[in-house]
Amino acid sequence: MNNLRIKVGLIFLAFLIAVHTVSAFGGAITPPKIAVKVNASDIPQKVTVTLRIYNTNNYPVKISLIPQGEINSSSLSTDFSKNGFLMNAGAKEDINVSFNVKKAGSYNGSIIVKFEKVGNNPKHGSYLKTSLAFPVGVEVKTTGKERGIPGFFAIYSIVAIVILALFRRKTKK
Amino acid sequence: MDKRIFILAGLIAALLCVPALASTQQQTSVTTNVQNVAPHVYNGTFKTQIKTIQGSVVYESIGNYVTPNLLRTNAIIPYAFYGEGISFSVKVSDQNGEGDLDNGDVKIILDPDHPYANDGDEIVLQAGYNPATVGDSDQYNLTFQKDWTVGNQHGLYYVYVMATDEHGLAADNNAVCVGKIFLNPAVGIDVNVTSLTFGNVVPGETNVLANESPIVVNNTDPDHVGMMLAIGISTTDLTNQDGGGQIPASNMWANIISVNNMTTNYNVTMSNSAQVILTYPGIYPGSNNALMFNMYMNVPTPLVSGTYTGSATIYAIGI
Repeated sequence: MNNLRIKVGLIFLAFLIAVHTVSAFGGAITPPKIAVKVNASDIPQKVTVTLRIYNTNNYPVKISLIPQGEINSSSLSTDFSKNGFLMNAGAKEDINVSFNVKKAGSYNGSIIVKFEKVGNNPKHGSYLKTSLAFPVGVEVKTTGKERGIPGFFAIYSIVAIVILALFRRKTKK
Repeated sequence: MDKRIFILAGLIAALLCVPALASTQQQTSVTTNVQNVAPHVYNGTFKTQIKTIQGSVVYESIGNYVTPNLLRTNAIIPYAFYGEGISFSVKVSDQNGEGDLDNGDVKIILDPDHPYANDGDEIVLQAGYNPATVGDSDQYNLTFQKDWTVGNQHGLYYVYVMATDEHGLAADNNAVCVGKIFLNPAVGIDVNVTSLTFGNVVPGETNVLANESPIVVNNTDPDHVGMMLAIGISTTDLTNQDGGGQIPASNMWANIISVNNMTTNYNVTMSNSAQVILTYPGIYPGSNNALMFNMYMNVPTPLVSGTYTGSATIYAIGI
């Protein structure tokens, strides 16, 4: 009798442990941080970094990449080779992330890599659909001096002198 | 009589030898060859320091000693992410004196292979000597160093040191393995839910526990480097699918009950923006260290009947 109780107890304990270690929804990415230095004299410049995403589930998931903060502005835009796509079970995907640096400066932001399970919503009652997000911290820094447009200042000066000369002639008349 | 002859003969012989000895002192040169000795890499002095782009040191080791109380002190394998700086340094010795090394060649090589294989997949870093170690009281050793920034590499690399002196003689322990480093390890989690359901509730009901509680978040540490994770959570408001009502995110909260195999009890109120559940030291890898929390909701009143839905996002940040 006692043995039976112990056995039942052990089975129940094993069940509890199993419940707690169920892998229902997972994912992984690398790298979780990206820091890029750009020479200001090379601006505008495009820097491309590879982001690797792993679908560790045995079902497909939807992947969305969301740039946030200063990396999504008129001075620095961020593009992805692929976005809002379905990843097969167990798949690994490399995404090219391009930072288009248009103006010298220091930019901080993040890319949220979001994993969502497709379909299978609960049928009854109120619910929150769960997703996973891996924020990739991004810092883009420019170093040195930005290159000016060659001859721009000289052309600008000549045009200004001509306009001034014409204006003077007109006022003298 | 015989004795006198012997003494006389000895005296003559001695007198004859004096000029001979003097001429020997003038003409004989003493020569010896001092061999060029192979340098030696002191692997116990190998230093690795990892810095974030902001310049914060997150990991440091010298030989087998790891500096305590840094963010990555507990890493199983030291790791660094894209754009982070790694400083390497090592002491190289030469019994011919440090002058035999300053024009020598010291390389720090990161190689996925163990033992070292010169097969083209390695990262070769040319080290230079620290000028402060030239002409100091230590006449035999120079410290060589290299600062390097991590790029888009991924994987485990063994660190080797190769040294030759200025005559091209290789170190007696060349290609000595001085450690390993993981470049850009992956961040991974799994949770035991894909949705949080509150079932059928009535307006004004309080402390409604989500059916899936406790929610369990595991740090899977896919590359087994011992990375810790910070965890955050956000929820949207629950909105009536038929329109006409909503349950604000602020009516929900997570009660944290366990992390890193320790019982806890604190609440985090939900919001549309990510709320930090756990920062440093974060969750250690392994299911024993899982973060566990219960999710609760207060149902507002009045509230029109219907099915209310929203979303919850769990954030994982590698430290």
